[in-house]
Amino acid sequence: MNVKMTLNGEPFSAETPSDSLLVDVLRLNGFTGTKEGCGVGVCGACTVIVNEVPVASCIYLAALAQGQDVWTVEGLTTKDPALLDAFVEKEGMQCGICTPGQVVSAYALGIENPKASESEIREFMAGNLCRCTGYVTITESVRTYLASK
Amino acid sequence: MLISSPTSVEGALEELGNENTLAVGGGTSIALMLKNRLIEPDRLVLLNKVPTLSGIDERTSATVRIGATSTLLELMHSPLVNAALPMLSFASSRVGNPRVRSVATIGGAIIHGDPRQDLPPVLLSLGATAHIVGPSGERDVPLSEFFLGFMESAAGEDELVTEVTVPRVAGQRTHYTRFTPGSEDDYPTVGVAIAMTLDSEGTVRDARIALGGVDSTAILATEAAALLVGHRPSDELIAAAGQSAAEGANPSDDQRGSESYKRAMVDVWTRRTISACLAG
Amino acid sequence: MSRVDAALKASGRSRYVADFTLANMAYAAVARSEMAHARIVSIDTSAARGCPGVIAVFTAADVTATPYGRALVDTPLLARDKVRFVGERVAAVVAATRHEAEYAAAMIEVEYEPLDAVFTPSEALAPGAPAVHEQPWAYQGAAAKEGDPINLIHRGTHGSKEAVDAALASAAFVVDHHYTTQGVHQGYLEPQACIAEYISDEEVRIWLTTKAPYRVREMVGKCLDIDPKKIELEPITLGGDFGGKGSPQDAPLCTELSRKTGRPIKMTLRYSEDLTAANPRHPAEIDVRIGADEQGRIVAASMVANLNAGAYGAFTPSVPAPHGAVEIPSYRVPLFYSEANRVYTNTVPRGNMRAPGAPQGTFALESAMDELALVVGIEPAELRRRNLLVTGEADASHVHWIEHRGLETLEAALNAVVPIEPPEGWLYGRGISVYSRPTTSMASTSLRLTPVDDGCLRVETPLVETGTGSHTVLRQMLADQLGFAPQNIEIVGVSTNDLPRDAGAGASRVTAGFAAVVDVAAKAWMNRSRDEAIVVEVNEDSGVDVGSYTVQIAQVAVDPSTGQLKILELLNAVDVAAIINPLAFQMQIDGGATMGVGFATLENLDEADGQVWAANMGEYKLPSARDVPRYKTVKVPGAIGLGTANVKNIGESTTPPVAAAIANAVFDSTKCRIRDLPITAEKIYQALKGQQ
Ligand SMILES: Cc1cc2nc3c(=O)[nH]c(=O)nc-3n(C[C@H](O)[C@H](O)[C@H](O)COP(=O)(O)OP(=O)(O)OC[C@H]3O[C@@H](n4cnc5c(N)ncnc54)[C@H](O)[C@@H]3O)c2cc1C
Ligand code: FES
Ligand code: FES
Repeated sequence: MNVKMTLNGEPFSAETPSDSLLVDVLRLNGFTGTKEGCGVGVCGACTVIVNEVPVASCIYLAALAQGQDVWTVEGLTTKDPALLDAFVEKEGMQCGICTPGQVVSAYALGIENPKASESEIREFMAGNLCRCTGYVTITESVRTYLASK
Repeated sequence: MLISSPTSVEGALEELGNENTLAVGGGTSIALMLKNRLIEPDRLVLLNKVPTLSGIDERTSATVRIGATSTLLELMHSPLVNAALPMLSFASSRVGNPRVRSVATIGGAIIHGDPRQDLPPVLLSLGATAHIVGPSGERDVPLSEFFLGFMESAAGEDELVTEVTVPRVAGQRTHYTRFTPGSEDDYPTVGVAIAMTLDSEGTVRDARIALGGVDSTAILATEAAALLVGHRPSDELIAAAGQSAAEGANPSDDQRGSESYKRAMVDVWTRRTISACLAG
Repeated sequence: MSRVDAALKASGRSRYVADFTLANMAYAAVARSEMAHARIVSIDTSAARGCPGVIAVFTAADVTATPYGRALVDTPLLARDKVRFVGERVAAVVAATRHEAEYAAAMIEVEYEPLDAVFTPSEALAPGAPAVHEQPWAYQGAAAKEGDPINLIHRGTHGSKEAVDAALASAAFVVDHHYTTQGVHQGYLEPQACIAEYISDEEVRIWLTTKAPYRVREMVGKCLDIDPKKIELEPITLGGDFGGKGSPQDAPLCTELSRKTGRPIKMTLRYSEDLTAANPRHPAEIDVRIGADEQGRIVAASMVANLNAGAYGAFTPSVPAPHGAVEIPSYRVPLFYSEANRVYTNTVPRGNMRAPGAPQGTFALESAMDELALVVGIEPAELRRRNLLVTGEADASHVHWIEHRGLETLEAALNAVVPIEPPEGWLYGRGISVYSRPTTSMASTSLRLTPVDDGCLRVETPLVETGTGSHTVLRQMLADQLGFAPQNIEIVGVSTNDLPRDAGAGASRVTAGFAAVVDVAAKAWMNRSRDEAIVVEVNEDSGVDVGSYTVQIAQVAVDPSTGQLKILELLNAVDVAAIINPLAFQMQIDGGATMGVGFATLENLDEADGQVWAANMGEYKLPSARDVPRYKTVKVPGAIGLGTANVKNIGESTTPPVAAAIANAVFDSTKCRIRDLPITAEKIYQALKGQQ
């Protein structure tokens, strides 16, 4: 199968088995910012944006991305530097393996509910697990990002 | 494995006529099953390019039509669903996480057939109907006849659910409880969805109580609901309804609780959910 | 001050092991045992060999017969003759892509003859129990001797049981209870991964998710008969460790597969494999007996733990007694007996996890302290006040710390706690728990400092940044002592070939190790001849015993109709010296407490029948942003730390006390004592029902 999509604003196409998942297409083509943790849609490490909504690329068929507008952490942090600045300033990370997913989810929250309260932030971000931080600095980072918008 | 992307219901049905073929709504369940080699289909039929399967509108002033590929995110934000069926918006907002909700469809949610899911009991209590189209024609199946067993529904392999219709009942009171005593980010141990109407005296005219997580599919607690109808429920009556719902449940032991605990929780949460409905 | 790696990580540009691809690389996947204990009758690999992309298929007969391990060398690359746990590697496939390798691995058919199995230490120690290993004493490094109970790996004791028994018999008050804890996983979100490139016996390169590269190269070298110095562990970024990434995991196998196929081999675990076949925390059965006089002063205590070490003992903590599960580090105990038995069972092999042994032991001990307070008839806090060590005293294992600040920390916690209203109709309770932990005084690491243009400094370290911010801390310490601006210092992780030593991250030793090496580096820097690179190393024990106390107070609410538990607040009072990076320090406190909350209330591998049922993250629940309680931190400053930087440990301080703080709060609210983790709503519900 040949998948064609717009990836981080640029045309992209790749030859891939038809049962491929989006996470594998991205990672095998050098977009390793998207991580695979749980592989079952629970942890959020693999979050990308497809047509302005967040998607777990580990359980998203690459075929569904055909012709769609896909953004990964690499593209979003370039397009929207405030996103990166917020996580750097508030140290919303330790080991960093969950961080790209947190960053992409923060961007998604910025689209869905830019005025989110602390508890709305926690609720939306609850699908992005982090084993390191205890979540306080991540919540702060997201708040800082939303405030910049 | 082949992938087809039809753009009409007829096209989709034609593709579904092939051997070992599956329809894909959001694909959240399909992708997981593929990954774990629980299914090995020869062909997938993507429904996301079929425009007539999407959209949410008022079929009549008394019915809301929800296209099968409507996502849970759309159900959360649809002004119509929020106004007419607030319990459905609420329940959609509790499913999984934002990434599941933005992709998973109502069609997939009812056909997947995991008894712990949230939408099946909610739609059951709302008296929803699935519209099924197949090679031998079309039919309407009330959800009370739709869930046949664990991962088993009334829609055949070569059929499509095209839409779900939900009656819009003036003055209906609804409440959904999703009891997650461990992580909030988990399937409910027990789900209780109730829709009821009261007359001006506070007498229950009509009630449906549906339960999730306590049988091989979502179930209606018909007897418990019948106890309430025609009465202004007292504490004793509410307790009797809770007990009846618990007796009708058929839970099994798993990580989220033992059979006896789940049964006891059906009792508690049915009572509490009835009270929440009555309180408005 | 920002983290050295923040922008790289947040933009997805940090490279983790799974992100690397080498030229000509092939992928490995393994077929795993579906049986807990069985003889392998035959393995049919023919279907797998015929699958697309398959390069080769291996069984035990095709790879080295030498096992690997740390102290005890008992783990085979692939199961030989029999399997000992569900998830054990039975055969390996090398293929052109990961999916092809996984697909073919699923085609391997193994015929088994089932054997009786043991799943808990009690079962394994029972007379006549089936043997997990026929001759456990024969392994290199084995502590067990012929004639010992067949499944016993190691028994460590301390003190005299007879003396303690006698003292307990005449004590005014005695408690004697049995506590149990479940199996839990480290929960790092980066599954274990390895790339091995065998070029010749003189040149082997490995990228591995490990925090202990020097140790790994020794173990891989021994197993494959290659000089460890010829094995280079490449610098990597680690996606979480928490103790789980200290073993070589699949590196010996991948290196062997690379040697056999002549290609670099990559193997990345699926998370389900990590949950079922890596090295999670030991489940424990712990008996605690404490005796006190009329005033509630402890006269004697005994802690006996049976630890489920799983099917292989290679990475079960190898230190002799007192093991973390049977320590009483904080109280004055005139007579102390401890015993820790590490026992083979037919379950996943165990390893280290954040403060090994202590979460289990502290749950038992601090629960028992509350049970003692109840029989003595004094407040739990008062019982602790009467028994906490003060400066000058030795602990139960005769260790002397330079100072004890438990009392100050206790009072600070009590003063800071503000009662929170529970939801209407819920019961309210408060529980306390104390934990103290030494800062490892052994420092073993090395650094290279190279002056570069424009007054900048390049610093190379072999210490793996596990995510704790250690490289940022190192930069700050060097900046302070060498007089550089932090932004003018570049920290670079390097391979095991580039510098002589590092003991590996873990055991709360990183910051203290840095403190020592930075002191040496500062001296060498002053005395260097101009513009030369210098290499410094330390491998010494400072001989100074410092430690730090944590006092936790949990406030909880319980719904009496359902048993549902809400943690309203978890207060951490910690005894601190200098804090180099306040945000990173705070994250150790919060992240550690969150892991404790998961252990106390949520996480469970659910493996009673030898099969891990919580084999994916949908079932193995980690606390999410919604599940964590409100945290309050009280720092009790002014402690004596190590080195010029004056630092102490923090990373393993807040995890161990959580479970007892919550169990004690649950008791306070419901009068129900839960002695079996995790504390679920159902257990509380059943206990409440039992009271009626
Ligand atoms: C991480 C995670 C967490 C979750 N948590 C929850 C939760 O908390 N509560 C909950 O209720 N659910 C939960 N779910 C399940 C989720 O609701 C289902 O996966 C989802 O609703 C399925 O929808 P889908 O559109 O993705 O289905 P698909 O995967 O596309 O399809 C599911 C099934 O339906 C069939 N199908 C789909 N659409 C049609 C159609 N129109 N006509 C005929 N057949 C069709 C498919 O062939 C397939 O058999 C969770 C899932 C994940 C991955
Ligand atoms: S890796 Fe996709 S959600 Fe965890
Ligand atoms: S920073 Fe390590 S998992 Fe979040």
